[in-house]
Amino acid sequence: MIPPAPPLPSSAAPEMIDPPAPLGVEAPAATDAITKVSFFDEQRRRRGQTWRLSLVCLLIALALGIAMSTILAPLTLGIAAGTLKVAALFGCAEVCSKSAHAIGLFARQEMKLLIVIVERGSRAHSAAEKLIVIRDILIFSVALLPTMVAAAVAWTFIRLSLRRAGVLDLVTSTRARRPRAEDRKERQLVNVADEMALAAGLPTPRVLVIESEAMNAAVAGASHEAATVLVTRALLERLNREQIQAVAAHCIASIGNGDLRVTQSLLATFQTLGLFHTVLDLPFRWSAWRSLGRFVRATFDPRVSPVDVLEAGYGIEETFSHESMNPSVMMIPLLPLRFVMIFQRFILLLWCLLILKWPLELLWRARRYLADSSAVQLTRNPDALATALSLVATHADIPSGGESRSYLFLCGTERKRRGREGIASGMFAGLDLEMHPRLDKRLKRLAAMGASSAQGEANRRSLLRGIAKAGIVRASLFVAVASPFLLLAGLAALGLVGAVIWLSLFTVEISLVLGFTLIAFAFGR
Amino acid sequence: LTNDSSAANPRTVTSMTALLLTAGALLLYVAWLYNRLVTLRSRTRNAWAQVDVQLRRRSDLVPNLVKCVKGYIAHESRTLTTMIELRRQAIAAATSIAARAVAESELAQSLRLLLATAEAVPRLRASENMLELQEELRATENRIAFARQHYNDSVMEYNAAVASVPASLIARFLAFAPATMFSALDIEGRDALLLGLSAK
Repeated sequence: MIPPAPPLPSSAAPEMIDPPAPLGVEAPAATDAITKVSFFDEQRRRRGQTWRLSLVCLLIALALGIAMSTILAPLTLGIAAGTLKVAALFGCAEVCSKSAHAIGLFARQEMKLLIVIVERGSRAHSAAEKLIVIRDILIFSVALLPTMVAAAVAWTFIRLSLRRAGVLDLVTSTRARRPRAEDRKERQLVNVADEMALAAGLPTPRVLVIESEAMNAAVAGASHEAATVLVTRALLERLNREQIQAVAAHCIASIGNGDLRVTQSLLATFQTLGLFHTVLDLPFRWSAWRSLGRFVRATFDPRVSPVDVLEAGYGIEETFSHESMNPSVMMIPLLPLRFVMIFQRFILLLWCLLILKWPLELLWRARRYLADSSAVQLTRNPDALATALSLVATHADIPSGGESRSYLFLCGTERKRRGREGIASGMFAGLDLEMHPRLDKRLKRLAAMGASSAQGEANRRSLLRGIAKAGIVRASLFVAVASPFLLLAGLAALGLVGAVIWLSLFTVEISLVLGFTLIAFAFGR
Repeated sequence: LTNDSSAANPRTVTSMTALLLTAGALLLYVAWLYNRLVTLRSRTRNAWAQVDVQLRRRSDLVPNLVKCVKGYIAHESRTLTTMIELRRQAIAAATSIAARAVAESELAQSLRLLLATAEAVPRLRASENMLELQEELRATENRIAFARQHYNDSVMEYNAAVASVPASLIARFLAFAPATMFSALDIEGRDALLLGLSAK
């Protein structure tokens, strides 16, 4: 859509901003030829990447949703039947108990169908037999519909409540304050944010300062109009004006690119999953009741404050953490059921960690690169962003209170430097993820967009380039040596995925048989 | 009769459906292209409004600046009158972007010149009022630079959209004219002229 950018007219105020990056200019011979790109091309590339990765994430989330609905189908039916039974005590006894009975019969029928499917499935060899099994599965999947509808409704409402509350919790939890007009650096920050908003064509966001020793910056808020940029005091003190401008540009570009909406969708997905988990946990954990109650209130009551919405969200997200898996002693009579449930949780965790993790991380990293290249567009000064990033990343720390939303920050703490207690700083919805790109990769992209201060970083050999440079003979030798290992690794990965899928199917089957049997026993006699 | 035959012939029905679907898809595509053009055009207009606001802000600073400086450098009244004249021209040129660009960059040039002259007068340099004006002017220059950058980026995207093939047909049909960039001119020759004015 956008052709390679022509050199833009140079600035009338040369002392204010640097001349535009040399777009599309060949690298000088001295530097080890890295291909130069214009920030427009970089942005287009990252946008495309975002689309593809979102699609992958969506598909995986859908698969997870189907799996969850399958696991939860008996529960939904059971709750419905139980409610009807209770209602029968208060009136319209005939209709209610008849409906409950119908649900019980339905469960029995489904259970029989399931057993038939499993039996036929293991014996099916010809295509026709397989078709019959597939038809049976389709018939069976009617049982999943109520849960899927419930999930869709829950997702929509959670998304709405998140949109209402924004991600403003970050503001309260980090105790950010308004910038002081009498402080020179803070006034500068406000001016710089103003200029960057002007350059991005966005309304000026609210700017807040976090009193913290950590150097970092973040965005929060519900939408373009109600966005907030948070900058720590340490960052203001250690960076110069141009670098602060680059940081502000990154934040504002992130707002303009719609990262806040992406976050809300992702969070809503995780919270829906967490909600189901909490429901599954109800018989075993008192805190599950509490967090469920808070969550329902926060989601459906528009008067609840953003902080409460957030607290409720945390309660739900906590179900992903390992601690909540520990069975408590008082639940001994329910132990077999608990065992199945722990298994389900384990499977879900495996899915999240092994399969959903990669596209999710890549998606968010692509958004970071996109914000970087948009920041270059706003400041026309890739050097400032490169130096600011390397300064921030070497001291990167998430200010206290922001750990659970660390992905909203400019730089994350690197995995190497994360200690035992630092694990939390890479969290997304309770999962330990690496949401930020590595510093050297970011600098490399900035160098490609014209940052001369990042050239050194960019010239560091990567494995692929090393192979490309080694010449055809040595390269083929390398490939010949490495290929068995690669093949082995690929097979191992495939086997792992296969094992996870097999385990999931097994779990689903067990929970379905168990659940439907219980319902049929309770209501279908 | 035609109704009967089309109902009787399933192939006709199929081809009719296919035709309708294609036409519908085409219509949707055209609507999407049109909406995109409209969005981009309104973005350039908004961006221009931003530039205009900032330019006006600078123009409004000129009388104050002149008033502040007048008492100190009365001997340079020609520079001051030139500047007032340039400001008038810049405001008068508001209709055409190209003419505005020329007028505004001349005004910027003469402002910079005036500030340089003022620097040379110690009493003026120390004046609180002057310092404030200088700061204000610098901030405004910055804003102008960024607003212009945004405008030019938007224009570039819009012009690219107007010129690219399927959209260009719609653009020509519905009179989407390409927008003009707001470029600062290279005015080295004029520089010398203005320097000559103040050389005295």
